[in-house]
Amino acid sequence: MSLAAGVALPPRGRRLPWVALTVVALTILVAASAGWIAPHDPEAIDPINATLPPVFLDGGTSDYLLGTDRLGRDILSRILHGARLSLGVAAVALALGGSVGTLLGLIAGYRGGWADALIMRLADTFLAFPSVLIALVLAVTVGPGFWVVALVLGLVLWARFARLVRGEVLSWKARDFVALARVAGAGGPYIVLHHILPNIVNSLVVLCTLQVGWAIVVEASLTFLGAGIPPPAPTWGGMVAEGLDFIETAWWISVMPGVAILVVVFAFNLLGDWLRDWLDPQLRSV
Amino acid sequence: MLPMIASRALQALLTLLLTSVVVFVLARTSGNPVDLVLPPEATAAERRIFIERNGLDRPLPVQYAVFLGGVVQGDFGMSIRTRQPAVDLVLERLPRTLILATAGLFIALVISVPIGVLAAARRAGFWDRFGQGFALLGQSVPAFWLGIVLILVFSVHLQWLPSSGTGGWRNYVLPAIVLGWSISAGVVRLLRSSMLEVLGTEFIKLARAKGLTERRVIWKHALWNALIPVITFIGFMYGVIIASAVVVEVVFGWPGLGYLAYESTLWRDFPVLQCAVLAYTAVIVTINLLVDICYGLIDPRVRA
Repeated sequence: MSLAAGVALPPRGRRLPWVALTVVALTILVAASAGWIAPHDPEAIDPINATLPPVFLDGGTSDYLLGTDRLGRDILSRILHGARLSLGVAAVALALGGSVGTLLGLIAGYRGGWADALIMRLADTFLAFPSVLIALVLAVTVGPGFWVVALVLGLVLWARFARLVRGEVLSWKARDFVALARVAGAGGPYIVLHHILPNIVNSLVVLCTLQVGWAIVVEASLTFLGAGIPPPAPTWGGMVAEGLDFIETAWWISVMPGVAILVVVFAFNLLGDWLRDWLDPQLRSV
Repeated sequence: MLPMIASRALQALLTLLLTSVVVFVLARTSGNPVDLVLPPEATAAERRIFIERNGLDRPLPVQYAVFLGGVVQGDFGMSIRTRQPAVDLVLERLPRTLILATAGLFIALVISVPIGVLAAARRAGFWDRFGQGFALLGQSVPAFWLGIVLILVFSVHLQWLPSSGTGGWRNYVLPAIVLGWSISAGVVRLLRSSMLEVLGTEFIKLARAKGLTERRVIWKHALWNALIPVITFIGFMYGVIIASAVVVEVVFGWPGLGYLAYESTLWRDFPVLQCAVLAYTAVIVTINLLVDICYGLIDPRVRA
């Protein structure tokens, strides 16, 4: 409801970020339909066609537009399937961290006192956590995997959401309409859910969009280190790692998936920036 | 001032303690170092001796208490792989990571301070758009991939700089640039908004009214005040840099603490991994603590 109330028109003079919107929409579409649109099986090994260069280099064929890796797997197909894993991890991590963080932020901001102190100290502690290292430890002990990565990302994300939401709650709590609701006999949970939360939705949308890119980059970094989604799953970070030893002879194995990360994350960040300017001009800090 | 330092120090200690508990519990509850370190043909007796010697058979809280008692005395246990004290391995690697991280921080400031200042001074002009583009790109390019691309261009093709290892200053250039890159976006954004805020204040108007040149107003009066939030951010950024250092050290084969943590992970070398993670956390919280104290000294307003 606040999306409708707080948002009339995009700011004048600012065009819609068409390129970013298109890339984001395409990425989601690709992630949803990778199984149908990928020209090859992303895990099919084909030694005869190993290490083929992309089509625009000498020796490339139009069968493998972006070339193949050293096991002969089609890089384009692996990138398309990788979108599914990258967006999937980001979505799960945001759902986890976003819901827990929002809930704790609402409690901290509205209750204040010791609950506030405890939650915010905890959030500070988690923000200072060396998450990459925790991921390394988790990868060895629990074993690397989709859910482990999502959990590690969620551990950091909740603190970011809690901080943002707490700050917003504090500023909305001081408004007259909240005092009026209280006078009218509304209880704490009712006020938070019906009067405060709807006003925060814009900020949450902006934060979510901006954190998608962060989540994709960190997931790729963890997978690159072997602490993310294990092979042979087609992941962007894993593909970059596989090409590291062949960088002198077959650079495309590492570079192509990196370009995919760059383009997708750039689009999400651009969209997030634009949304922030549009929905929430005060929110400059995230 | 003193109560502020005391409460920050306590917070730092809590973060360290929590990290140690998390790492310890994770490492001991599910990993099985016996199978990794001993050869498959090891007898049951050999396994038992190994478990006893490393205290892996005792209850978890006891193991943790023993571990913590040792840590207080500087004893982090022996590396399961090399049988050297874990703390020696970590201390040997730590300086290399700190030097690299500091070089990265330096490069980040050299690149992003001018961009941030120019973006604010020429608001909505070319530099502002350049700064925004730079910041967006900085957030979007993963450090490990940038490292690989730089190796491809400067080591493989141009052969100007080495791609891995330590040695002369030339070995620092690429990894430091990649590390600096990972925080430059944040610095540009922060400095730009901080500059815009300062440029709108009364004393800048006064400085202009006095007839100072615009260059002097921006680079002296405004910049020094706009840098205060950037300095408080340095603690946080140092943490980000140190965390990126794991990935960068692996890409560039840099034998620092991050690479040690990576190796220990592959080998399931608990004591070393624990010690490395705790050393990492200690560095991050110490720097945050120092920055908080410096901030209190620089800006009297926060001395509560």
